[in-house]
Amino acid sequence: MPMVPYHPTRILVQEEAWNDVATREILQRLPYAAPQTVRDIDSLLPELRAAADFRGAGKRTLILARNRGDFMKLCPGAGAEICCNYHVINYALNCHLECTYCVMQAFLNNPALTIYTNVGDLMREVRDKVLRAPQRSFRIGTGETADSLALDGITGYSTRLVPMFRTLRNAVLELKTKSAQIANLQGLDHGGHTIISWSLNPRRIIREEELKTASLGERLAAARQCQLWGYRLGFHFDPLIWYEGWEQEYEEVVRDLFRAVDPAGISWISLGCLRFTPHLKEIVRRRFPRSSVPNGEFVPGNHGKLRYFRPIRDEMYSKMLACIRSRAPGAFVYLCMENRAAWERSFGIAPSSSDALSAAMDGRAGIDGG
Amino acid sequence: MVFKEVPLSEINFEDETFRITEDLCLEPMVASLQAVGQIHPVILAERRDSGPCRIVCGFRRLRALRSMGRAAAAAGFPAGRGPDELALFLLALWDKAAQRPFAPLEAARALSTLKQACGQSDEVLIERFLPLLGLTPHRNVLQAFLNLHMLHPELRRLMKDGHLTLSSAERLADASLAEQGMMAPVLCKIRLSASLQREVLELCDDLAAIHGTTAAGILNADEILAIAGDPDLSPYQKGERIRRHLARRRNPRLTRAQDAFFAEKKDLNLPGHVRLSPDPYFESPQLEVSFKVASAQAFRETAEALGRAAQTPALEKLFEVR
Repeated sequence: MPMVPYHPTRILVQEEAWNDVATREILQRLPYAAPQTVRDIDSLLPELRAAADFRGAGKRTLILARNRGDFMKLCPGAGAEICCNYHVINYALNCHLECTYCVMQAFLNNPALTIYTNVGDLMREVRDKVLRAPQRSFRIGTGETADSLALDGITGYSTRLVPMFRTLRNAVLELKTKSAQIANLQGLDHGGHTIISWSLNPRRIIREEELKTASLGERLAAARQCQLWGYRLGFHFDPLIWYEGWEQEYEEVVRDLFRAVDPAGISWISLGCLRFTPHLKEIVRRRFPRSSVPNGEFVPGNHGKLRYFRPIRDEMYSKMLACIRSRAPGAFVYLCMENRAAWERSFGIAPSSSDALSAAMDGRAGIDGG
Repeated sequence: MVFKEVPLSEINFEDETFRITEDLCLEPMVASLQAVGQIHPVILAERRDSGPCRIVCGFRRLRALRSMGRAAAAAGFPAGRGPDELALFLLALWDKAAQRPFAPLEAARALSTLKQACGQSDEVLIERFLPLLGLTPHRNVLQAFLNLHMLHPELRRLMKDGHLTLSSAERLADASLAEQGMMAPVLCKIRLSASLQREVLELCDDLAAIHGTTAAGILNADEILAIAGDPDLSPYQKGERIRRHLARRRNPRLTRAQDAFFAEKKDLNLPGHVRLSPDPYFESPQLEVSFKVASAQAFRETAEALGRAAQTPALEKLFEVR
């Protein structure tokens, strides 16, 4: 199944966002929906949250607004015992791809899909922060509060960000997606400063849990194409989802991955087992009663999140690592949101510190931290 | 309003269209009527077809008077012969609102009446009546309370008696009446604190999803029924045993790890006052050892027992990754 494209049924434009070029460009690409101007987005919340399944229904409303806060932040994983010191750019809030396990269902107050239109401010902020710390390296992703590319056909933001990162010696941009929306990336002067990444899961999980995303075949075909365009690639087995027979089906994904792309062009592969809050579990049960995601054997972990019982995580990580290394012995594989003990149990070795992991990843990204 | 004495024989006690009060327990009302008589008139509505009057307010008072053998009651009649269902029900609603807050089952009953008998739209219920009933004006709240009105009578009784929390009742009300009917006999035999109710119902839902059945099916497994029917256990003991049984089914690997730990701990032959606790979810191999002693001699004996335990091969196993 190809990715279901985003077709908002209603577009709301915050008054001051009309001044942004991005607003007009986005509206030109969505000519079928007449935009309405709104002064106060917050005043719409009661209406947006009124529907029974407001989390699903809300996404049909697209809000074009200015971000009045910071665009660039430390990744929420920062603070874990071993963390890769990643930064995120929040260019949009929410995603229409309807992954059953999506954490945004639990933390977004506004169920609409919001795209920030002051992209000039975004680029200025990123450039300033990166240039102000020339001795540091920055790996920066846009896939934290939205899919990096699923909306790119509407926003075209990749055509601005990729060339800008080309000029930033000590930074690399990671565009992380479950889509195959790569058309805008062709011909961009990326200079090796953009990594295109895909979140991967077995076909069964994509079909049953990642409801509107691109198929595995489409994702891998898009990855192959990006590799041919000279981009380095990243892959994220995150969330790894346990179910009867997971080993065999994840092994198939790994096999297909290395059939599709040259491992030498992969910067990194991450592993992260499913984690979610008790509140999210309730939402998943209610919104997606057929989802098997909440059925795993979970225990409470740090920050109140539920995670698979430790031996299950250990087993998944060590088997995935072995599976990946058997096909790509030189692959750089890391764990996301796990502690040193988990690294040691699953990989037999752990980075000496977050900085050590960060430096290794900078090396894989080919960026220069001075 | 027109007031007069009405023979009870001219009142239709079967018509509960306008009833809001959940609890029709008569004893306190009978005591009050015996002590001071009927202070407030009930409100009745005449029928257009001249049949027996309908009760609008005063269901408990009228039943109490009937049980006392009284022949008539003081009653008020709304002016005009034809107030519609909504106008009559609003009398009952405002009368109740003026007296005390609505209990959840009363709010649920009122909303159901407004929707079914009075034909009010969801939008009107949300915007006008949810706030009147002290509830948040949201569609999900409306739906939850409309579901709550469909709660199985046995579960209603549990809730009314304070043995079932509102959130548990809401959760149970999501199931079909037949499923609720299957769960009620078990739930009536056990007692659980609010947090354990939540845990047990969540475990039932999880196991139902995993095994492709219903929560009622899970709660009617032979092992559960045996615990619920055990005459030697108190309702609280039954509740705790059922919770433990469900948790073991839900978390088989964690359960195996716990069983293995406690079996190995036994092999250490530690005195009973020495507590040896693992990380609750075996996330780390760390163990907590604690004891309290009241004398130097007790301290020495405890230290010796720990020393002997330190020489036991079972000790190594306690630290193994499970």
